Amino acid sequence: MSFPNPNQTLSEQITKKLIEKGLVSKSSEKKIAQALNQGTMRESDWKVFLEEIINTPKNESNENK
Amino acid sequence: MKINSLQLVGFRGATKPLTLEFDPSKNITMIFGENGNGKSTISDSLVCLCTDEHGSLDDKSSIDRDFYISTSSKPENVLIKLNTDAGVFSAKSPKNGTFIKNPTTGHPIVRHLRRSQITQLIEDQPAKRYEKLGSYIDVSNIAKSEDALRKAKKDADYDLKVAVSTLNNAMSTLEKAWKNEGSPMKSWEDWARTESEKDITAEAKRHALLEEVQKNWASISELKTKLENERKALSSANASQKDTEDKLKEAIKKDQNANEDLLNLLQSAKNYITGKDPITSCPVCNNVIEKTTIVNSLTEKINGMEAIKTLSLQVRKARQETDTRRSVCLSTVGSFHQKLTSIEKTIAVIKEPPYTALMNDLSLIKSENAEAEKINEFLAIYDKMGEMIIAQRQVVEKIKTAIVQNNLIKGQYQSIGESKIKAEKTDKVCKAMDAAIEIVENLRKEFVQNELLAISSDVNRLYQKIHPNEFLGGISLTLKKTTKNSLELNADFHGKKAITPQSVYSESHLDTLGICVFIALAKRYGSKNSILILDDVVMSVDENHLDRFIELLHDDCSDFSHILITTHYRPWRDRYRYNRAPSQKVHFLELRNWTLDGGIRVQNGRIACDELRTALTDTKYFDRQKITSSAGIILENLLDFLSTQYGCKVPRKPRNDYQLRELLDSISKKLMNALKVQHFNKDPAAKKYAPDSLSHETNLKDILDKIKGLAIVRNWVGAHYNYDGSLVSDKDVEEFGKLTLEFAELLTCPDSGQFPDKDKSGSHWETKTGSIRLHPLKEPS
Repeated sequence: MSFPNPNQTLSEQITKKLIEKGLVSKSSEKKIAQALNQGTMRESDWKVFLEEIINTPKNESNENK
Repeated sequence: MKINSLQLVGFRGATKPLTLEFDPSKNITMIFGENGNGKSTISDSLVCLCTDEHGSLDDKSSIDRDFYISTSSKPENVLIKLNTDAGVFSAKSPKNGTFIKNPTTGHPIVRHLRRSQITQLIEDQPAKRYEKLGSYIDVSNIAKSEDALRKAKKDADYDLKVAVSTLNNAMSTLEKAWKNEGSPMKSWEDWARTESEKDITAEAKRHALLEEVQKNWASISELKTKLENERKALSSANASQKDTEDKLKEAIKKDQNANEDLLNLLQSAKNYITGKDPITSCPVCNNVIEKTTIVNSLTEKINGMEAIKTLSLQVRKARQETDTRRSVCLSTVGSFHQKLTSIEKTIAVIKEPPYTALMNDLSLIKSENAEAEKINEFLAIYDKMGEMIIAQRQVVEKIKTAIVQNNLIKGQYQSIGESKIKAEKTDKVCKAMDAAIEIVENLRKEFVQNELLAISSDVNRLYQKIHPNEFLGGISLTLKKTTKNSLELNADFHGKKAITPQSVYSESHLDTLGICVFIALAKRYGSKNSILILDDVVMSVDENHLDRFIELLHDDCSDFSHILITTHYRPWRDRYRYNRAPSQKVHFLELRNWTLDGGIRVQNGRIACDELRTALTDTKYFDRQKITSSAGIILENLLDFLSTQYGCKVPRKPRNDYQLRELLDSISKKLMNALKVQHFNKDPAAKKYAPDSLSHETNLKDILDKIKGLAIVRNWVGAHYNYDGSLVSDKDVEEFGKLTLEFAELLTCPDSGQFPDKDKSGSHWETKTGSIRLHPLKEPS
């Protein structure tokens, strides 16, 4: 019976879903989950993570998936 | 994680150092003590050590942080030390409610419930309830990140708006320029592209040269004016000098003896003689002289030549002025010449009319003459050149305008390209942000609702365990839809759905509801390292509900590393003490009367059988009264159990306070003959009792008959003062005690300490663990 804190559980779920929907890169998974969990995700961070996929050529993006 | 000991020094009621030794083989500790004996001190110490909260002090409206410190202690002496198999954790020297902790992290998780919290949990307004439980469903960090995402989306929307606006402006500007040019080519786009692709480097270079000629000519024009003015000034200075010199010559002509040289000589002689004291002879002719006479004579002659002196000064000044003017003129001539050379070089590069013609004119003054003469020659062609160069000004401006327009077109055309890319990219970012917001928002809402559903479901299950068949339940915790951070608590009541429980539930039902909510939360968000503290949570519960609550604790809380129960409710303790609850799984501690000098005093609590066993094996003192008294109470408990299970007949009493003899006589002969217990062996691998591995079977008639024969000993020795009691031998007392223990062991599960009170088979009673079966199920007819 081991439950992480709610922020941690939810941050992992959100990150997984964002990756699954191809909105963020798999390689940023840890960073995103940590920032969400700690509440340190700023506007600029969101922009960077979302642009990373947009700026990545399609082939590389598919490989990440 | 197992707790070994808890040490308190100078903390609250621990006016004397206190060490609680825990039984590591048992994960439940019950600390029983009447109010004011130190229960909350012990539970608060664990809360202060393992959390940022302050236990029962948090309930007080005005917390004096000095409450942490015993009246006889000082802050620097306060110590809380918890020894576990996972390490030692300590907290000391509280200051303003904060302890110095070592280590600073990694403490066991403590879930702490006090009675006051139960009341608050149930009766508070939804917003207050959210505050209490918010930490369990707290996703505030996610909410912060979600807010940041929404702000980022707002910024991106603005960026997109700007990019689109820039694009439209650039397109509009180019279209306008295209129309101004007479709409050449098919469209403004074609024209703009062609224009922006044009290489205007050569034209720009040409413009730079022509512009330089214009600038140089402007400088030359300025220098020309300057030189003319300076030449006029020089001419004037020359005339003034000549006039002054003529006047001096005229004055000297009038006085033949006077001249400037003589004046200077006389002045020098006067200065020399005045300065010598004494002087008696002339330094030139050595004739005898008288100083005063000779100085007066010299002064008279000098004064006579004053006019010549003034004129001489004017001549010197006039000559200086002329020299200065000449020097300035020469300097300007130099600058003029340099500029002339510069323009000449620039014009030489421009191989186009009228500059080629200008070059020819300039070459005429390319002589070996001095600068001044060259300039004079240049000034001769100045006006002609000026006309030609100034006429070129319009050409230069036209070229400049063409270059500027081309650069503008290039800039706008480039801006269109860049803005298009930026707008497309920003649009993609905006869409990605929209999708991300949807994911974060939906998952957050879903998570909180699911958590509350899961908690509600568990609360419901736990509550049904304590209150089966009472038409209560349907407990639900839900977020209030209309208000942020408000938590509603609803329940069913005899067919009525979703009512607020505090409006119809009894106080004890609300108490158990609060406990169930807390346990459900503690279970869901605890871990194997969690310590569950129930600090005096039960006030007054009837026997049946208490038994179910105890069962719930043992069944549902086995995953906590440790459960610490503090209570002043004696019936709870006695359910364990008299084997009505799984006493073998619980470590008992009892708190004696607290005093300022003695502090918190602890003694190990015992179940009744252990007390009797100890009394029987005491080799120093054979306590007849204690043995018979204890055995009598234990027998009454055992017989109460049997008579209740079989519905035995006893004389009716207003209160069910039946005594030993009445209970013994309640067992009928038929039942006595049929009563037997079967003990089973434990499968070491499965750690369970094997129903097919019978260890031994015992008929209870023999032992009950023996007990009946000795039962009177209890009254004679253990309860009253009488002569007969003195006649009872120690051997009979010992026999009575041992038979009682033997009878108790026949009916008590060695693991849990409970009686065989479960009807699982329909043919016999058995203990929960399956260790003992009691036959028959019903009294034979």
